[in-house]
Amino acid sequence: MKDILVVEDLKTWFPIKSGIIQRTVGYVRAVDGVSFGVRRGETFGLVGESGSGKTTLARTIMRLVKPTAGKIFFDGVDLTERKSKPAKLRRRMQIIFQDPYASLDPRQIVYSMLKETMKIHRIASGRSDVHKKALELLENVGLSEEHLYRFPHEFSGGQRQRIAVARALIVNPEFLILDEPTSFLDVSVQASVLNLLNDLQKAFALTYLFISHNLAVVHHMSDRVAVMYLGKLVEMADRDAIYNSPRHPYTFYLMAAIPVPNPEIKKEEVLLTGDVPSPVNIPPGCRFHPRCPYATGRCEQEEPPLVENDGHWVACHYDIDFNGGVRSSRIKRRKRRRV
Amino acid sequence: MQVKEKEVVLEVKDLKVFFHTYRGKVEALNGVELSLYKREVLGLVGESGCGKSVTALTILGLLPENAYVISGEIFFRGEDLLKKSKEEMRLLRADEIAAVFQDPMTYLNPVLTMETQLKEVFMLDTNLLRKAVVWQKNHGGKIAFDDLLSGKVKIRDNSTNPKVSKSEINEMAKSLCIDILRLVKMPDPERILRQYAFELSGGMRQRAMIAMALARRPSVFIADEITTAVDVTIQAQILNLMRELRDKIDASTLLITHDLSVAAENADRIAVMYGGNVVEVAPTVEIFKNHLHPYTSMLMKAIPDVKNPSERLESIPGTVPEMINPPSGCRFHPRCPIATDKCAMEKPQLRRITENHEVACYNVAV
Repeated sequence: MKDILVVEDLKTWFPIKSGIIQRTVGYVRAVDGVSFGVRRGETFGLVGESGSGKTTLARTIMRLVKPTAGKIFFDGVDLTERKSKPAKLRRRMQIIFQDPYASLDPRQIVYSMLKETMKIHRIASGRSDVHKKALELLENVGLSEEHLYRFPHEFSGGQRQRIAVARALIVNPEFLILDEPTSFLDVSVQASVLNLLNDLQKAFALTYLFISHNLAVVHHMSDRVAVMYLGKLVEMADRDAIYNSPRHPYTFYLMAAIPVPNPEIKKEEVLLTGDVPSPVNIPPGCRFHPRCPYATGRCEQEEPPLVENDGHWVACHYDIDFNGGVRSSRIKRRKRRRV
Repeated sequence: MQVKEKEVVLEVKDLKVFFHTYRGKVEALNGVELSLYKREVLGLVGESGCGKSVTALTILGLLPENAYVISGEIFFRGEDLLKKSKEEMRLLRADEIAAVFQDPMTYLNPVLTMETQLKEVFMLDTNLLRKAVVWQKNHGGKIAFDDLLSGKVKIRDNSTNPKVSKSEINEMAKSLCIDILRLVKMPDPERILRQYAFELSGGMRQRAMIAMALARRPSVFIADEITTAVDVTIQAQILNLMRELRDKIDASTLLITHDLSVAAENADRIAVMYGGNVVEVAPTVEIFKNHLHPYTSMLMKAIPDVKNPSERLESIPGTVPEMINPPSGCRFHPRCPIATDKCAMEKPQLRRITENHEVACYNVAV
């Protein structure tokens, strides 16, 4: 499989300005050197806690935010170059935002919303064409003609998200970024939206970048998963490898923290101490070291690179055996072979 | 379950609460039945708008102006809370029924230091502080919050009323503040006391709220979505803290959450709410293994489970009903696969299926 999207050492920093002359006093390093590739046809899950830079990464890929450094290749075209005209490429890549209450214009009926996009991208012209296409789109997302002439406030959260999906599908995209598409929805509705997304992926051969803080949802949707912490990827691998045999300590603790909807499974209590540091003052060395129980002097000094070991990418200096449990004082440490 | 004899601490009976809004009458609670036993954790689970929080607010007597209690009773220690005056409810919230809500930032005062806010809780009972100071003077040593909790130190009133200065009381309150911050596992409590709410992280704010709620040793603790606004790793920390505190404090907990998994890991019993009604109540293991209400079983199948993945999630058709024009009869009937004509006509009452399993559905085989 070929990579449809390749991100190379992408950085998005936001300046912090202060004082009368608005001098830049520092940077929020929201995305701070991220590299990965998304294969055509797969669902690539991106997880991380709030403030880890997931949404900024998505917005940067869509070129809604200007990257500070790094390259984004979409199907071989570098989106960071001026002549690449990202607006044109948006015909092939679309984004669905988290909050369907904010992403739909409250003053437009669904029909005119869809019509506007068709006009911009010159998809359909003439009333009957537009109408036909709009109807087709709504049917794709499980809505019907009666919904075409309604305003967004007349819809429930799940239906609004369906409209947002329909709008994204107008241009027949190959690649969809789904930024927390169900976090505003109730569980009973979330399931139907996730099912819809799965159906659409099969029907239109879509590639998804699925972003969520909900680890169970990402597990359900994704083929491969990357874990983000403070603007960097700490681990990236196949879904089952990430969830069942994590190699980075942060991933390990993250997975252990997922509540399981089964009272009979008694989990071993493994807890991560402390909070996520601010992306303004990123700790030196490995950014996870202040919270990591396995951290050594080396972790405070040297930032571990993301290295591959048969398809499993990890950014950690050590190969840690988590089965010993945190409480045991004997922690096996083996030097990782650098690739 | 830990408790053998079940002593009911709090009992909600046929509670109906409506809101008057510009859009019309919102029938938020439609006859909620709930009982909270001594020292248990009861998980109250449901989707947004099902009335979980309104139930909590009614118990606390904190309903907004436009809410009307149509009918029902809330018994706490043999007294109906709905008949109490505002002042009586205020005292009750100070002493007996404590609550922590979703967004700690809105409940902490932004212009006061944590010390001022935490101390206030102890200053409510200066008598206790005075006695504690006297005890320290007589016995030597130091009184910790733990001693007050466990009752290890009985603070007897001295017949001679020795003078205790204001600064000594202040000192005492401060040391108790530090104790209680340690109890909720705050790092460096002395520093936290000098800080303002905005300087703390979300998880730390929530810990401070829990500390304040538990400082008065309440007998009922309402935790309303306390981990919804924090990240998974912090959620695990806070829930773990709650489990540890459970053995220390003698409180019954009403754990309100929209997340079934959180309830699965922390509650002894679970009550499932839908459309302003409690539709099923059972012990946690029972409700996961042997759920009876169609809504409960559909909800269970709709959550993705990491440990037990399925190709396709089962979704519930339709949406959560509007409470302005709620469906007649059983409020779940428009989405229910096994609904009959009777369901659309009459509201099913909670009925007991086994000793501790109750369900509100006509079509459940006993």
